[in-house]
Amino acid sequence: MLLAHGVGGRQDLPIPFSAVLIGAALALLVSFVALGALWKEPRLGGDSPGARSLPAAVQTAMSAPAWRWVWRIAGLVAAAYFCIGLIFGPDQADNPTAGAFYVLFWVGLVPLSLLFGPVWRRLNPLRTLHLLACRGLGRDPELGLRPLPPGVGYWPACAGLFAFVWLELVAPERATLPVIGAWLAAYAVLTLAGAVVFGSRWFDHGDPFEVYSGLVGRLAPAARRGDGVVAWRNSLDGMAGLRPAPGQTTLVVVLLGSTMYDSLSNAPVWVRFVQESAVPAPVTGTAGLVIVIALVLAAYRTATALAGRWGAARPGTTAGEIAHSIVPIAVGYIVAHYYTLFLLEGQRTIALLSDPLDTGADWLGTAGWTIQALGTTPAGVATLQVTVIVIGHVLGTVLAHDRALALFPRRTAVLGQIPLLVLMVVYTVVGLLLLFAA
Amino acid sequence: MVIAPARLRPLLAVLPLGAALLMATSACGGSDAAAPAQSAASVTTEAAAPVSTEPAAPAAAESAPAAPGESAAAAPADPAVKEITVTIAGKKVTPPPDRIEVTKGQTVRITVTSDTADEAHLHGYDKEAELQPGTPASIEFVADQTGLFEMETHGSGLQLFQLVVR
Repeated sequence: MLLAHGVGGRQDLPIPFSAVLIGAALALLVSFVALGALWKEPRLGGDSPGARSLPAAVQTAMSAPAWRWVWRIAGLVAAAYFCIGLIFGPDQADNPTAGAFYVLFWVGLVPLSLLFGPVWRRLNPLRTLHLLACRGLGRDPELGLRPLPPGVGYWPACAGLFAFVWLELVAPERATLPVIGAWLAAYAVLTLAGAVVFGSRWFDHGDPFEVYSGLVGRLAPAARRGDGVVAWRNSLDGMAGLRPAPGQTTLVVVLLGSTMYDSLSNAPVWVRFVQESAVPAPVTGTAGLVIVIALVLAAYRTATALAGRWGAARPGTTAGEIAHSIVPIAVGYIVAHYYTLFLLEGQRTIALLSDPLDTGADWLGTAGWTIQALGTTPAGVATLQVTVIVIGHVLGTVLAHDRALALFPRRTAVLGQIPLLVLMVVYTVVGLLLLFAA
Repeated sequence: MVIAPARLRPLLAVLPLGAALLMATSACGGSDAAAPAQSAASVTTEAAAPVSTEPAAPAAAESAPAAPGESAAAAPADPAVKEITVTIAGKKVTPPPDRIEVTKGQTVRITVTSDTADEAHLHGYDKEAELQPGTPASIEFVADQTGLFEMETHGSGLQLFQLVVR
């Protein structure tokens, strides 16, 4: 992402072509190993009751009511601090708002969720405001004016996520305060209105950031089990616990497709096309974003339909059942794509956050920070990028394999997996090629 | 945490192997990438060498501005300087936006001529040039930071090129 307002000025070097070839070869190798040598019975998605629970002190702390309020208040304080720069700060490159929103919050949500689970559910200031308002009025926050229809699923979050990636990647003047402010105002009004109508369950289905954090957070190494105990777990079990729901497939595809568009839009060939066409750039950008997401979706639908037919699964189930396996692929690509942006631009944003009004103040004591390289050498970054993409592919392949064993009868299980593996190799190789070319 | 099932181990064994391979080749990739840049630099040195001795040189130098399509013409005075020349006319960028590679530590001189008043900005390095209609404006700096950096105009929002510093 490059936000023509001073955010994300430096971008990564394209990865060497040799790295693309090695990554692609590894992806193929992994897929063949998966096809022939992995387990023969589905084993992921359980609660893993034998897993070690976290120490008793941690359990006690996490079960205390104060624990929840600590994070709710932290979320409110951070949001209020963010609003100082957004509402009262000058609209110039030294304002931390764009960096805080796009880099610290949006990109930072991925590592936070990977480590600690669905963190935004705990921090979400809108959820807390809704809760406080309900407490004040003596109402149950879970109850809205009417129940959330089950068919709604994740479609609202899907629309919200698309609105966000459009803002991040296409919207004109997207790093300026009026644009960020208007988007956030619309988001806050719609989300709170949804919560008033449908109760706090709306946040689980309609808040794109909660849903995003929840998806990524399924890969976290610890989680609260069904019996309330916080225990370590296999990340794959967490991811496999994602059950199909309306809109979920599209949600996952928007996540992967938008990141791919981010890379593509940086390629010189795309820049030339946009600048030399008579159509205004935001229109071309919107069309490009929609087309890339549509292509990723079409590839997904085709592969899962073929897999369902060849594997003799119950018709119409494969696409939803396999959606969880795309999450690690998307996360791998997101980490590869935004890793240095987060490290370098994150430092700059924290320095700027110390003086949100640009008055020469140093509220956080970080104003004097100079950006440290933190080991981001070109060769190291390229290695990390290919490594996380291949890891994403491995995890996706394992998840798809495990689910295929549950979906397909044994005699057709291998055949049914072939389209899924081809799809993942395609996603992985396209991701690598985008890191090479764009 | 559940330890990886035995069946998963061959898969996991592939990873460190791949990482090691990558380490090795991305290091090679780095030197591969550097090699053409160095040879390109030596070519420009050779091309520039006759300039100081042969009287025909001024003609060659004069022909450079006549061909704005040339994005990289070695300066006769200092062949180590990477010259980048861009012209903007009617919202059209010549040469069209592309990647321009330089080696880390090289001096870069960017000259932009626009038909409208504007401001040109090199992201990351945060170098700016005020553009007056028809008057070339220059930025000169040492490319001391690796990465990919976009050169843009602020008023018209055009990307001029991407500077790749390896």
